[in-house]
Amino acid sequence: MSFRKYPFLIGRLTRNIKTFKNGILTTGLTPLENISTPSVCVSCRTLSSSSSSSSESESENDLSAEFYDIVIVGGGLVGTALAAALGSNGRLANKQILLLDSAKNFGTKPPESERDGGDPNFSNRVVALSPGSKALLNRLGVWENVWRSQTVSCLQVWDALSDANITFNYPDYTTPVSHIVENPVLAHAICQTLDLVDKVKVEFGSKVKSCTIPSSENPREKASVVLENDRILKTDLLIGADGFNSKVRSSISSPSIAFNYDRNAVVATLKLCDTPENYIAWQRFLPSGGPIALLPLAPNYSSLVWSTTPNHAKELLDMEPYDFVEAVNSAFWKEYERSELVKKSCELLNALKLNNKGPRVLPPSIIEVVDKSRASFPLGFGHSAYYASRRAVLIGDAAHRVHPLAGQGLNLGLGDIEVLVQVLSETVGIGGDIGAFDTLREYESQRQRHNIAIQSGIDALHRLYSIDFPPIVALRSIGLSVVNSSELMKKFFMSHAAA
Amino acid sequence: MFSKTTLLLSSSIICGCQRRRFSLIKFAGRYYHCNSVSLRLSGSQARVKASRAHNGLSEKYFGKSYRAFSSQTADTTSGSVRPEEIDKFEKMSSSWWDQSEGGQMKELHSMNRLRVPFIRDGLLQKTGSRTEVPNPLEGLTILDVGCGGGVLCEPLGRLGAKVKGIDPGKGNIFTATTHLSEELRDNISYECTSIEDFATKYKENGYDAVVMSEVVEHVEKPEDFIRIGSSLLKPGGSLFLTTLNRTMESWMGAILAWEYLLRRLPIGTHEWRRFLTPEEIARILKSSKAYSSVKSFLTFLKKSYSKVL
Repeated sequence: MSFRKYPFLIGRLTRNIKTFKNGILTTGLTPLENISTPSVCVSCRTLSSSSSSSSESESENDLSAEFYDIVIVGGGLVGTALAAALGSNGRLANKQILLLDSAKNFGTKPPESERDGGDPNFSNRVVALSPGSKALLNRLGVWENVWRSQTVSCLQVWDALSDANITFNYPDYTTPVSHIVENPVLAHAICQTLDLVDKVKVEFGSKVKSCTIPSSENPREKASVVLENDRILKTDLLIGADGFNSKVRSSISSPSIAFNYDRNAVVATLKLCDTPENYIAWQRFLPSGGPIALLPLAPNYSSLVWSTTPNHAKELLDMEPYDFVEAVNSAFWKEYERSELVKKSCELLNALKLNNKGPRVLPPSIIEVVDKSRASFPLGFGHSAYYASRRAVLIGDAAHRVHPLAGQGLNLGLGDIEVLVQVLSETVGIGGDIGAFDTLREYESQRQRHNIAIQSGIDALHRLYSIDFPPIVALRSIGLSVVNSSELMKKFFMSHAAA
Repeated sequence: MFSKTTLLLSSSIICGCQRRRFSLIKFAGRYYHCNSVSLRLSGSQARVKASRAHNGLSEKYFGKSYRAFSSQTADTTSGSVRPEEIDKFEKMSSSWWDQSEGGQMKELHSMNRLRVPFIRDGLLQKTGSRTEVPNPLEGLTILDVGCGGGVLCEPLGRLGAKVKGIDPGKGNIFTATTHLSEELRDNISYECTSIEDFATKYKENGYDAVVMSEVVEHVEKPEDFIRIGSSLLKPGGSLFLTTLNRTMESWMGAILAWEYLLRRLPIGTHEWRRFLTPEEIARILKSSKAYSSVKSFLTFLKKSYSKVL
């Protein structure tokens, strides 16, 4: 991917080395370079603090305004998990924390375990949690409240246009690669934990009208949030966990990249034929559309995530259940016509024994789609050049949005939480101001280093597998086989995805 | 200037190489050092002992160049304050809180990452409190001598300590006072005075800690300055002192590079001959025989960075 195409992609990273900028990107910068650089600032936004000016104006008005140390906008999975993490941190024990969400009672109602017929009632929206994310939830005490989850100990990915495939698993087949949890189950688990943290005040049904961040670094100036009912809240730190249409993001006027993939994800809950041990996740990259994935939910049940064109998605939703099952089965099993070049390269790979890792396990066949479980939603990419500003910070989808093909969306958000809480706790430990730009920039650079790599990797994979031009197919098949045959490279990818 | 040492350290952490890290820590020590001492005797006794030991001390250990600007007796009215130093910092007084890229005080702010834990952990070691609480320094009193714009007072106040910041520069105290936010007003107060004047007026029991951070290199008579500072301590109180070392590295870094080449600070902000080496400071402190322990920068850095790793 070229940086010309993504001008903002490395926003803050380049901000540190403005002197070297003007189109040339210096990578691998160490903090040392920042310091020894003669500072000729070509700042794209003025952040110079003037300690003496405008100190009185802000502190005098709104004396009546409510004040909280931390306000979190958005009570999704990431927002609530962050509230729980902040609330249980010892150093932040005296901070008043407020969580705002526009929904009513999100996740507080326990999901029904069974529907009337006696079949288990699965949600069609699931998340794949990496071992790192699970460890975080475990530390927060959330995981013990997750009453239903499925361990995935093997991930099988293959290309519909060639024989190339890749398997991710640990040698013993028991160490989990990821955990599949239904969204409502996880939301409920987080809310149960959050209920025990009394310092966090949760306000549901409050819509945010606008947010403002202070114009200078003066500690007397606070960030403010105006709600739909014209209530004004002042805060030391405003956290935007309000999804990809973030209001907090627009308040920090961060340049961002956002585009739609012109793909919809079709989700459904599927009943499988005779799969009592359901621990393999399956993903096949289809030509003209995207990957289709089968994520295990429970014995004999799996969740479908099929990324496809909007028109095809609509067709799939309108189909009779029987036809839908047929369509899914054929998507996993259909042999597509291969070009000579791809055939040759597959033969070559076989000759080199690169593609020969013992007998391949075949995906289960689907026998039924659970009634009313089909849904579809659009897919997009989003990246905010800045995650942090004065007294405001972005986490989760407000900062980054990815294609679900690698199941990383929530994992990135939970990683944000881990780093943000750590940075805030350290700052409080040395008596720093939690809303200071320097503090929050620490979080930003740590996270962007990780997130941008993952985001661009996922985007590149999506683009690579959207192509059916034979030479490219041949090359990607060779690449995939080489990675599959090299334990070292696989370990590298797995450790990155597991973080 | 100090952030440079921290960054050297962090780059060595990235390298992950044990030997190299150690040599970098050693290098940092040659560049910069902190000392903390705890007072065994009561404040007044220490005052007597320190002043008695002081006169012989400067000649014996510091040699000619040093004696040139150390006087024989502690003069409480004119004192250790150098008028030209006050002017120097008055000119910069509006920029104390300028943390933008290229701001003069950016490095001073980043030094808080090391000097606040240095003070915090030093104090908590004595009280035995935990650091995993919001206000670990609650109930302790701290005097920050030469507080400037309050860059170090504010974090210490946020940690719960009652902080008094004194500085002879009016502009500095004005900046510090205007920067103070509402919630910190209970914990922090500032006064425009020299340490001598402050000590003569001071009638209370003494402070739990006296902090002299980045200030001894700017005073006329460091021995008097440190002695008077330590006389303001409670029995068993601690003195925390951080300053630049007088070595080739500190000359090249703090003066040649920082002032002349990079122009990050006005030329003349630091005078190399006024820097004190850890040995000199340890001698000033130990000479009074009032101190039970002197902890140096190297041990502190090794400890704190082994935690990070």
